Amino acid sequence: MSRAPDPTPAITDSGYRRAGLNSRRSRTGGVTAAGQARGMPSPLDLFVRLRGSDRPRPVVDPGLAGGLREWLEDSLAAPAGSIDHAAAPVRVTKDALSQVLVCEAHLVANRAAPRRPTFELITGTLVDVLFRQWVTAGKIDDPFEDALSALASAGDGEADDFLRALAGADRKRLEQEVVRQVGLFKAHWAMPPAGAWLPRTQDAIGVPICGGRIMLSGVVDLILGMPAKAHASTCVVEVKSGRRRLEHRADLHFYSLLETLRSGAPPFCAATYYAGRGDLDVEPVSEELLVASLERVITGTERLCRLAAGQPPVARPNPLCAWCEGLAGCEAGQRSTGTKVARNAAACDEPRRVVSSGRNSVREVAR
Amino acid sequence: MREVPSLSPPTAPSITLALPRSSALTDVLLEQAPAGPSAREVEVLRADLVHQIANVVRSSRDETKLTLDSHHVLQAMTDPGACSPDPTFMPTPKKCRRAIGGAAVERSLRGRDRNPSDAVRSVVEQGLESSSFEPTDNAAVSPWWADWYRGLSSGAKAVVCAEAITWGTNLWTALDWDRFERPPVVSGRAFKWECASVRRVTLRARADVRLQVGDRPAFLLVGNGVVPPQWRTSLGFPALVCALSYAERAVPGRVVGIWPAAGQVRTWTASTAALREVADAAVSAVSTWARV
Repeated sequence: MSRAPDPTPAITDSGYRRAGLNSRRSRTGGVTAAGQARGMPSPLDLFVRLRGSDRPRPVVDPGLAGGLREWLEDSLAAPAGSIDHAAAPVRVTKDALSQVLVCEAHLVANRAAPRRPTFELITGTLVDVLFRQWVTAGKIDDPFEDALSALASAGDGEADDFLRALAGADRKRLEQEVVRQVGLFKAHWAMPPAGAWLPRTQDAIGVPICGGRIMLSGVVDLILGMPAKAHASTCVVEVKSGRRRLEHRADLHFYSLLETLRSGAPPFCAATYYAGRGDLDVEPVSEELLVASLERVITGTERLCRLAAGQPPVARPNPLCAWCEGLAGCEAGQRSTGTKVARNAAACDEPRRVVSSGRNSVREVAR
Repeated sequence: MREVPSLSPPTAPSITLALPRSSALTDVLLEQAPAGPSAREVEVLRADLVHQIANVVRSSRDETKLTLDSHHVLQAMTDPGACSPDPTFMPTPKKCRRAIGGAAVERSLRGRDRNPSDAVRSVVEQGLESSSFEPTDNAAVSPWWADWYRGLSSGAKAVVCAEAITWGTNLWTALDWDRFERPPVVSGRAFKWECASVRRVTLRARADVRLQVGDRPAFLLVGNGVVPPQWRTSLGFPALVCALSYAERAVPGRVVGIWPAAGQVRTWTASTAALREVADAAVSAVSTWARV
C-alpha cells in the first residue's frame, strides 16, 4: 500500500532542492538577472510566498464554511424565491458580480451586445493556456502555436476567429506580447510547481445554493496544496496578463470564498500573478476577508436575482458609462457623459478602462 | 461571524463531512452496508427487466445494436429530445481526463509514482509506447486515446495532461487511501450486461473506485459539475448492471458519488426498491433510444 500524498509542506531549502530548484542560484538571480534587477521575485521567493515558510499555517475553524453557507442561504432565499421556478439558475461569476455592482443597466446591455474579443482579452486567454502548459509540462516550444493548438483542442474557437481577423501588424504585436509574458513567467517560476504540491490548473468550482437556483461559479487558474486537515493548506492563484487593478482582489476573494464553500476549509493564502510584469500579490485569507467577500456576493446576487425575476435594471452612472454598450438607450448614462454615442473600446487610444463582455468584466485598453 | 439560525440547505452535502473530508468520506465508504437484495430478488428483477426491454424494443424495426451507459440513461431522463445516434466519437481533453487521470491515481496508489502529476506523465508515456507496436497477443493493449494523443501538438498534449492531473488529483485527495486493507481498484473494467432475449441491447457501466467492504463491494463515482437531480439513477446504474451480470453478492452495498467541483457527496444504498427504481429508468431509456 502506498503512503498518502505528501502533506504539501512549507518550503525549506532542502525541500526546495528535492523539488529540483537550486535555491542559491535562484536567490542570486541566476535564473533571471533582468527580472531580479527590476525587483521581481526569484523562483524561490515566489514559491516561498505561495507555500509559506516554516511559520505554522492557520488552524481551520470547522464551522466556518457551514456558517458562511447558511448565511448565504438565509440572505438569498427571498431573492431566489422571486425567480420563476422554470428559469435557468442565476449564475454568479466574478464578471457578473463586478458588472452588476458597477451598474445593472450596464450588465444587461453587455449581455445583449455581441461578444467582441479585444486584444487584451485574447492576450489573457493565450497567456492563461500557456501558464497552464508551463505548470503541467514545464516546457513551451513555440508559445503562439502551442497556445493556439491548446485552445483548438479545448474547443475554444474565439481566439482563432479573432486572429484570423487581425491584421498582420497587430498579429505580430500580439505574438510579441505573448512571447514576452511567457518569457517572464518562465523566468520567475523557473520550473513547474512540484508534483507533491498537487497543482490543479483551471479547477472549476460550482457552488449551488438555494436549491440550485443560484450557482456561484468560477475557474481557478491554479490551486496548490492538499485539502485542509487541521490547518489551512491550499493556495489559490489567479494569473492576469493585464495591469494590476483593484477589482482583481475582489475576484480573488470571491475565489477564496468559493474554495472555502466547496472544500469546507479556506485556503491559507490567495495570490494574483501578473504575467505582464512578473509581480506576485499574495495575501492571507482571513475570516474577515471571506465575510467581506460574502457580503459583496450577497449584494451582487440580490441584484442578479432581481434582474432574473424580470425587474428593470437600475442605472448607476459611473466613469465607465462613456464606453457602455447600452449608452444609446440609457438616459442616466447620457446625462452623465453628455453624449448618446459610446466610445469604441477596441479603437480607443486612451489609457481608459472599458467594460467588455468577455471573461473579465473590465479591461484596460492599451495606450 | 454573524449569528444566523441554522437551516438545512437542500443543496448542501447530503452527509455531513467533517474535516478532514477525506477521512469522513472514507468512513462513509467503509461503513458496512445494510443487507441488500437476495439472490431470488435479483433473479426476479433480471427476469422482469428482460421482459420489459423485450416489450419496448419489439416495436422498433431497427436491428442496430444498442449499448447504453449511465450517460445515455441520464440523457433520456433529462432531455429525451436531444437523444440522437452517436456521431463518430472524437476524443477531447475533457473526454480523456477520466481514463488518464484514473490510471494515474491507480499508479500512485500502487506506489509507482508519488502523485497524480508524476503519474499522468507515466501514463501518457506508456500509452504512447504501447500504441507504437503492432497489436499482438503478448503486447499490452493500447489505450483508446493513445493514437489520438500521439497526433496532437505539444500545446494540446499539455491540455490533455492538465485535465487529467486536475481530475486525478481531485480523486487522489478525496480519500484516505492508507485506510483500505487492500488497495481498491481504480478505473477498472466496465461491467456489461447483454439482455438475454434481446441480444442487441447491452447495458454498460463503470465505477471509478471499487473496493470490498466485508463480503460486498462498494463503489465510488466521480461526477462532473454539481449533483444532478437524477443522482440516484446515476449512482445506482452501475449497481444495477452488476446485479444483472453477476450474482447478488456482486451488487455493491453502497455507491458513493462525489462531485469535486461542488464539494458535494451523495450516497446510494442498495435495496430491491432502489434497484427497481434504477431499472425503471433503464427501461425508459431503452425505449427512448430504440426510437431514435
